Amino acid sequence: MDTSAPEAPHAAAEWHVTALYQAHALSLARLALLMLGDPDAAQDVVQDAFLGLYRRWDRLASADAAPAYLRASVLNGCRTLLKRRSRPAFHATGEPLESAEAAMMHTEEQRALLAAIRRLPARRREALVLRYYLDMTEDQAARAMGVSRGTVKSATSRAIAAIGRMLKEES
Amino acid sequence: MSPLEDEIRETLHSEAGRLREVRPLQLPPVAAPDELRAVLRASWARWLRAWQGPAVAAAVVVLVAATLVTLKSLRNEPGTAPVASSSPIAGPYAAADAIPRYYVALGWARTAGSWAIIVGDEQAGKTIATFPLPKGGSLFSAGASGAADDRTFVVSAATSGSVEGPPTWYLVRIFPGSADPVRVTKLPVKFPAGEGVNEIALSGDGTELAVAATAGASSREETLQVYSVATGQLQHSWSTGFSESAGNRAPVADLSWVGNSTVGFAVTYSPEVREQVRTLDISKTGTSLLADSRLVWSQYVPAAPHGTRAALHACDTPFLTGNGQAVVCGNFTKSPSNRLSVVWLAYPLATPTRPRVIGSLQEPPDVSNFNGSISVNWTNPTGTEVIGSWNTSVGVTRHGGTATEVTNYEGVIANGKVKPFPRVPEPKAAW
Repeated sequence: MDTSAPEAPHAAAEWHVTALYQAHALSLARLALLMLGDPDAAQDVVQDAFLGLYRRWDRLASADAAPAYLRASVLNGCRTLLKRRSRPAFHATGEPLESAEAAMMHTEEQRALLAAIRRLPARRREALVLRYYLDMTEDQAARAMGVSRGTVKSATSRAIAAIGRMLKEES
Repeated sequence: MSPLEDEIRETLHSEAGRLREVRPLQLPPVAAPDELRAVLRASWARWLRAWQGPAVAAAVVVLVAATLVTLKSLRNEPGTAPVASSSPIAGPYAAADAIPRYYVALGWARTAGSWAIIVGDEQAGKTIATFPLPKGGSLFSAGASGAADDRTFVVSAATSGSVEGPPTWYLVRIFPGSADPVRVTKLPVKFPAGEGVNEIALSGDGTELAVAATAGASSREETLQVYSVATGQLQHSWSTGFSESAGNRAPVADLSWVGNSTVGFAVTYSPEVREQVRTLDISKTGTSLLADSRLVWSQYVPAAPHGTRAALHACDTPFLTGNGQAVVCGNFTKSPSNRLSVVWLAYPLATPTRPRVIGSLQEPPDVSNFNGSISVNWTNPTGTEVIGSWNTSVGVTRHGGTATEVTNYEGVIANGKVKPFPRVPEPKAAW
């Protein structure tokens, strides 16, 4: 028998990707849920991200880079889906309906706030989610979105101002 | 931060929190020319219990006898607590990182014609003593575990002619260099009648014994019990039902001690393999094995879709290390050219998605499969050195037909390599 290091067959990729899925899938799905407002679509985006990672595993510089790669994939997937939704569709779909469970979990104020967040343009919503859900700094959010720090700053402040206006109109 | 920003943050977290689980990952199937072993692992103890029944074929007896060696000496490392006065430990602890020299096993003693406790010196590659057990046709259950001094062991064994009898408990102490180097005495462990021992683990100071047991074949009640070695009295017992692990004979296994008050154990759910390693603080009250323990590590392996081959496999025998910081286990990989490798991994609890390879070994091209678990039999407190065992299957032509020859290996795994013990492995069984 020789004692060489293990080769990297598909099994290794499956194994690593499965382990990453256990560790990160839920948090990524939650991120996608905030972006999309739809739990099923959020899970689809996350599945696609992990499938992409699995297919590109051999090209990944290091396993340490996988979580950042996955987050970027999920955000990309959300952007793509939101773009598709913004196009006129043959069968017009409204905003995702709130589930009974979600209705029970949120207060009246939170429901109004969520509705306002969902009405934000995609980029502003993304900036808001990265800054206030993932607690990213402006620099980190800028890197994640692929935009300048100034863009993140203005998108965030405009998002907050817009939400304030929408809530005022509601009341 | 403004009140609105606070409210946004709180609302986003509340909304995210309504997603509590995600569906299993579906990766595309990978074409595998050979059927790899089932994803459901089976530790040696479970394997042994699988051979219940009075009519044990000769080949199976040989198989079990050879396999038993791997039950030996899962030595548990010392905690910081001083050795209690009731400790049976005779001498000082071995260096915490030293590979244990002595082992205790259960095996078939040909000369006595019975099962026996076998005490061996791995370093010297020889048997020191053999103690025959009461004669019985079958070995129904067995367990062996050592304390941190590498000189003190506890063995449980249930042998009987036709029905499963209660286990007998033995304290085995080794006194190297003395005229009477091995002394075996019975322990008065008050183990409940009707229960079967799946696995045992002696605490590092040798004062307490953790036992994973199944209460009856049909009840599916798994228990983890802690006994005083000095008195044999049951000190505490936790239990849980495991109806969802149908087909898995012993879903609670792989016991280890972290210090002298915490027991680590693995739980395997099936048919989809969901492995968990949990810790139980035995100084606290409670009776529920799951509710009163803490989840520290988990791994999920989806079952192969019906009609497809299992490309994923669970890590075998996940043991919590003595420092409580990592889980070590055995697994295998397959190269693009279909060469199989055994690999032992350490999953740091702080970064469980980044397992560290303790050591690996590529098998010869004629090895077509692994038979049973790729096991951890001992690990040092930090999970950098392991004694592991594995079995290879090689297809052979015999008497004009094809057969599978299974060979048992054992060795030290460290620094990326696997060093098999210096003895010629014999074929265990052929069928």
